[in-house]
Amino acid sequence: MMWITWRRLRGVLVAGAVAVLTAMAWALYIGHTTQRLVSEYQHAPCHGGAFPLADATYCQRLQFQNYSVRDSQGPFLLALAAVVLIIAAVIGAMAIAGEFDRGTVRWAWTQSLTRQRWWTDTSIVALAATAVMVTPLAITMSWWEGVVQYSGRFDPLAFLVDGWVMIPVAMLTTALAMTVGVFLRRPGWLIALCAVVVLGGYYVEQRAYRTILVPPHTFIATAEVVPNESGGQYNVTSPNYQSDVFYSGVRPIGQSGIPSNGEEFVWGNRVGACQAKLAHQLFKVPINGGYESPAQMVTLFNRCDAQLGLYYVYLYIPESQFWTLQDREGALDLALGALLWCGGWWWVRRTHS
Amino acid sequence: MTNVAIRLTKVTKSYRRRDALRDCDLAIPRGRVAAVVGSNGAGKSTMLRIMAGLTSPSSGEVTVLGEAGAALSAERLARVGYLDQDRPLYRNFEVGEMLRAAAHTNRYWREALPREQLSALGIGLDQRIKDLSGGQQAQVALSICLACEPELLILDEPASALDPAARHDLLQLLMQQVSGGDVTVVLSTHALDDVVAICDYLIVMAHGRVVLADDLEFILQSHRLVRAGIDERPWPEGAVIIQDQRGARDGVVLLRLELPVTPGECDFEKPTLDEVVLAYMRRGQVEVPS
Repeated sequence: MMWITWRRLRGVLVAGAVAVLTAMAWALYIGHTTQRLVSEYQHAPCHGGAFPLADATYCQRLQFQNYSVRDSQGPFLLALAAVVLIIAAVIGAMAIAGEFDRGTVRWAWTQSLTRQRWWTDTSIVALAATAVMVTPLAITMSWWEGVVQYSGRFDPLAFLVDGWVMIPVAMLTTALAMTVGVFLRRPGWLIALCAVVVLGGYYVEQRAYRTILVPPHTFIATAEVVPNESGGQYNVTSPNYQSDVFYSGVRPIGQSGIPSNGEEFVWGNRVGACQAKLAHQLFKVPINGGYESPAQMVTLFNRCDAQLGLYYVYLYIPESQFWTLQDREGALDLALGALLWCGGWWWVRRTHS
Repeated sequence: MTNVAIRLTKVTKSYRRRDALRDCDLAIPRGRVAAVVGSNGAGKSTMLRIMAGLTSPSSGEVTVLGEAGAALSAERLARVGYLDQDRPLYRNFEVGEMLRAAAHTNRYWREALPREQLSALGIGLDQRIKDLSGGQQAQVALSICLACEPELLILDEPASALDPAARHDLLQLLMQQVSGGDVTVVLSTHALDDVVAICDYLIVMAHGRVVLADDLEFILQSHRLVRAGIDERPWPEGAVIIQDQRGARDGVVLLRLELPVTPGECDFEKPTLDEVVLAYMRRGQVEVPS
């Protein structure tokens, strides 16, 4: 049965391989271009930004090119992830729903092998094909992500597309397409449904459950009011904040202001009252009146934070947790995929067409 | 070993809002070539799929080749050949690849048989299935079924949508392989000429019920038509009216007699198979409201 499944999916697999190779070639080309631009910018005469005035035009153009390439990172990675998901969904859909759609399941189920054997053999080929197709693309995506990123690789609120997690995601997609395919027997609709479900599920997981998989760390920034260069406004600064959080390559996944006296439920009102009072004092704004500029609003926030003794708590996941999250997400996806596979096996065993 | 190849006992198959089969009782003896006839939607394909183990009945009992139960084991599947009415073959495969696929999945596969048959029919092993005509696809599908050396062959409208020549070739291939053997064949068809030519057992279905199932020769012998003087002639004792279409001046009545037929009863006209089948199908429609 495995040979039959392989032969049946051969056209799909060849098309998928072409798509994978095209995506890899594209990623490699852009990645190398980016590497070259970064290297040129880091070395003489630009020296990573400390360039002489005579080379300003050249270096600024180089810098602009760097930014342009990096700005395309999101859509490009999304496109690569879409290639992975579509290939996985098509393989799963054609493996099972394709048999139902074309009626060939009535041939397969009347040969001298059990339906469980048919399901097992078919799914082994489909899942193995998905893994083989997706692995080189996942490696390429991981390399590409490392090349084009500013600093760290870990954005907790974005889809993880580097590391090995795309392989379990793809296998989950294939398992989903196979199992749902015994009910929804139109491959086109099935592929669309799987793409929506996997993307939606991943979005929910990323927003709601990722901090359960890897508990976030906290960073506390004390509000400190200092005058800025113009002398008329004040900023909250914390010398350690950027070096601890941003420069370590992670982005905060949440922040909140907490008063030092711990009155969490009333501090918002107190800040509001403080700001209104200060606005009236500093800018002659009527009580409950509007601000004249965003700068005025920032000033009021900072002054009141300082007066009330507020400090800020940032949640973040450090770079060191990258592989931990990868492993846990990957294990979760594989477990879900295995559960779906068992559901399909059970259904095929108990029911008839 | 029982002499019955297939036995259905009170088999009902229900889908959401309708019954495809209702209380079907049937016992097809081994070694017979049985035809299942009936109008579209009568339940023929559903019944054949239940026999092949593709579909399970909602209620009732199915016994195939002496084993009870709807789900066929791999061992029993190896002894049953099934050809669906859509002739599901992998369209992108070459004929040789299709044979290889069948060889992979059938433990009693006879390698040489389908190659000889297809070669004799002029079908090359390197031809793609999708490039074959409907008749050739049917030949390939039937050759695959026959190469598994089944004890039971279930064919769902194997010759439908084929031109007369292709149909003749297909039925000839079938008869060559099953004649003289112990193979039981159950085939559904709309062509009563085929039934007369190759079958010796007849099953008539109407609205999900088996309304007639018996030896073909017995059926023809045990039915008589009365066309003239219907009300004047005495009817044989035990005769059952199957169809009664009496008009003001003339009419026709189909009777089922108890065999053996006495000499006096032989005066009645012998019906054709078409007349018997049509009468039973109409009778089934009258008895079973839609």
